[in-house]
Amino acid sequence: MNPLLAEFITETRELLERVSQGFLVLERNPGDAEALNGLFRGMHTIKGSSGIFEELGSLTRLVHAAEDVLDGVRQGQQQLTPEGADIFFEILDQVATWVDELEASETLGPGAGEASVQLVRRLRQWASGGGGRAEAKPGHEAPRETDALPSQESGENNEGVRELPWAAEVPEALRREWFRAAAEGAGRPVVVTYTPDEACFFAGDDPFHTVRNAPGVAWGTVQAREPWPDLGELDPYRCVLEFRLVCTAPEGEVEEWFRYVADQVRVETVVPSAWVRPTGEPSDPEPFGAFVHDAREWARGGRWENLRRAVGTALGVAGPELLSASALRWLDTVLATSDPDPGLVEWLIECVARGEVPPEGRQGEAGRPSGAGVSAGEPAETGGSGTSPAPLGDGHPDLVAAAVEILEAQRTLLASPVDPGIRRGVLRSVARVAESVLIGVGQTEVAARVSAALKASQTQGGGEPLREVLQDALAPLAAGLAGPEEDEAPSQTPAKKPEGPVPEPGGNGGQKVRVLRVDQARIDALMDLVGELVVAKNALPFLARKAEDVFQVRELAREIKNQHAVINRIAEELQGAVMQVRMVPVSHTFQRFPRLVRDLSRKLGKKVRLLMEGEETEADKNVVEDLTEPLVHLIRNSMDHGIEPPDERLAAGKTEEGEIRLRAVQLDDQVLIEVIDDGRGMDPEHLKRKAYEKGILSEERLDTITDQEALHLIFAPGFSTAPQVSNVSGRGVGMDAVRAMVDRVGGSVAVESEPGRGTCIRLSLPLSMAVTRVMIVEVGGQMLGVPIESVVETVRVPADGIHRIKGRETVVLRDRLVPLCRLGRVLALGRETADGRDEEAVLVVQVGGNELGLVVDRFHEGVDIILKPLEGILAGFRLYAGTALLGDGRVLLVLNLRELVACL
Amino acid sequence: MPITFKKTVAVLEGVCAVEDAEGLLAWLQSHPRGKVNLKRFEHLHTAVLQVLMAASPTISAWPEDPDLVQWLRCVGIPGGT
Repeated sequence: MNPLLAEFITETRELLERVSQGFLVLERNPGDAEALNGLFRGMHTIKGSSGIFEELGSLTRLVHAAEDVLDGVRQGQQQLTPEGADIFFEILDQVATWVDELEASETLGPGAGEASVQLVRRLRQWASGGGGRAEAKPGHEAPRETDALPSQESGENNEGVRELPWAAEVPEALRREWFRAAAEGAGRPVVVTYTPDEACFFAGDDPFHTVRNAPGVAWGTVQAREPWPDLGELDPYRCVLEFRLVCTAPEGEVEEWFRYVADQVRVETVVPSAWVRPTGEPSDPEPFGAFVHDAREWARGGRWENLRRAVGTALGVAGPELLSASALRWLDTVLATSDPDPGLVEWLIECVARGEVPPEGRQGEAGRPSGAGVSAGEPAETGGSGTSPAPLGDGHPDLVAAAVEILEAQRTLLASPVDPGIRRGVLRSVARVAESVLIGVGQTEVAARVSAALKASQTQGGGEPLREVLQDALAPLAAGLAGPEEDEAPSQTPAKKPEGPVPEPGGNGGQKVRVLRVDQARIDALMDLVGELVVAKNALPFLARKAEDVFQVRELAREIKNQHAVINRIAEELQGAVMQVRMVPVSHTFQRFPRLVRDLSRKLGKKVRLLMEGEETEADKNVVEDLTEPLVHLIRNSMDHGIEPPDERLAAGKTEEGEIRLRAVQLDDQVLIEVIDDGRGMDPEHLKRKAYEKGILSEERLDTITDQEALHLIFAPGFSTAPQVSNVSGRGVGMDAVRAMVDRVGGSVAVESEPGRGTCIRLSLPLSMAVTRVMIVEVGGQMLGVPIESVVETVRVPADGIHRIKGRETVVLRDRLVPLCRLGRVLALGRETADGRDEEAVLVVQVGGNELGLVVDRFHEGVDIILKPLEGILAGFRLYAGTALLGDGRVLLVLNLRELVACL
Repeated sequence: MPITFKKTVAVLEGVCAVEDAEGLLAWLQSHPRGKVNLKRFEHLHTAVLQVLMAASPTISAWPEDPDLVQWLRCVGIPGGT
């Protein structure tokens, strides 16, 4: 594949993920300027890089349209409604699909053009369909309400674009003419924004020709969508222009003219007032003092005639190039209409009074920094906490950062499972640390709450109250840290080129992370080499023994052992380092869930909040990637079965909004992933009955099964409690898939549930799959590996301790009945029975919750191995999980115990 | 050839087609201070317009068509009369 395209694919995937997160943030918190700018940047980058590839026209156009509409949102002309977000998400999905197609076939599928046009049309429809146009803002209503005369024209005049940021570029005379014509009902000019496709020259288009000859073109301009590169790098055949023109012909006629490039053109009508914008030199308003005084009076009284005469007089003394004069001319024009808009008049008087355009201008006025609603970081709000961020550690960012780190650590500590014996001590120490840190950064208010929370935690036995306090304390601190960066982006963007793409100072250049993107195959190759090194290193002890036993040189043997120790240490460090490279935070997988929860909750009509904790926990890339599918099933399950509909929740005395908590914690060499919901929980009796009905549970088992075991029934294939199959769940495959995955990577799964209170499903997964520790046993002269996590104990059982129960050999160990399995017989490796031995070596393993004793000839040591799956025709032998090379060059077969049990 | 390259001036005449963009770009690159005479041209292809915008050379003579001048003024091509 073209390396450029490969790069584009990876990059776009990442950006899509980020953009989709941005939308989620924005939907929750529409004022989050940083999120908005971030996702705008993301869209822009996708569009920009897709433009390199000629065959991606459909993608570019779609993303461009999305970017366009987003720009409207960014400038406050449009509000992002859930419907709008749905469309945007669809667009993201479409782009993601295309990226997949690109990866598979290096080209977009046949329906791409059509899909692109469809989505663009829907997006535009939403954008123009009053989906939150700015008229909803309060500022506009105010002048109307104070005025007793409702404007008759207003209803009609409200249709169309209200803000034209570039209106001031158009000569005033033209604008006045259009305004007059429109106000008198003679038809409004149509604004056309034409963004030709980058590859349009190759299609034979000449956009300049098209716009110059457009019907009734009264004014036009052309701009570059991106900064010009050096001439040497300019590609004259990639069109990066954007045309804006104003046509006085009817809208239909203009649309007809541009019909061949309809997807690249936006045709809009404009409310007349959008043209009203005084231009000129700002000046000292002093000379107009008297006029302004009278004018305000008359405007309030609606005495337009008086006002108009005064305007005429004032115009006589004003220098025509002054902004005040321009405002006066506009006043004259507005007053000349049959029914002047009082809001507009007042605003224009204000312009005269100030000698410049007021910063808090008339609502909807073009050109003022209209992003006010979205610009300027609002760190306090984003934190979502009532605590004032004011006393933030005296503003010392290092201190605050350190505090955040320490508090985060405390939170992690609280979240991790702790032995009940030391629970109290842990709580106390957490409380003390938190209190000191909070006082240190000046958050005395929260600090005062710590000791109360500690008491509450101790009586409850859980860490919840303390965690809440920590949460409250962390939110404003973290927001305070993020704060300084938030202020930059929004303020500089709308000013210069609000329509076109904006060069992103600090967007790419400043925050370059020093990260290498490496093909996974290279890391794997490195890992293989480390594996070989480990094997080679393991040969040294054998060599040492040989030196001593065969060649009788004890000195040399000792030297070799010393060297072995050194190489061993380096090899282990190397192995650790390589494994570290493969470690990725689970956030890679987690980040897609907010979207999933949002979509599902809209689909199911439930209100659900997703809390994610410990996203920074790291695990091997393969583990994290494999995690996605089971987590999707678990979350779906929680959403569909766990969380109740809002009314049911209210009736049960819970909050209307359900909560799903997704938590990752590292515990030794395992990652715990928990999916916790506060839904209706599971009733073991109900599960048992269902399982019996479905034939999963036999009648005898029904009586003996414990509640805990019953909860595990949800993982049985084909098990489902849903009365009917929905498009969310109910087929009984999801949870089965969860367990299959967990088994595959050698983890385990646990369920806790309390009816009415919720369910917690905990997956324990190995941190890394690269290195496996196995115990070596010998059977019939053959070495076999058994994964150490399955091993319960090794025992030697006297021959007379083995009894036959129901035709199976069993042994009683510590009051437990453990069935035996003679590996030699099962694997056809030699000894059939206990031929006169007085003692048997039994390796007790745990498989799927049951214990099993494996009878072997001899135990050997445990070793770290790099497990290689069986390949080729051997891949069919599922009895073995794989092979590994031992230090002395022998091949070790590693058993797949689950398969072994299934075969018995 | 609608573009005549002289020593310091490129004269555009008639209708400049898309394929003229490359030549003009090359000339402007090798003549950083070269001027462009637009006096007698009727239309230029968008690609040529783009080159003019990017290079923003001095315009030694503006076209006769006022409508065209209006478009080109907005382009931000400085200089000229």
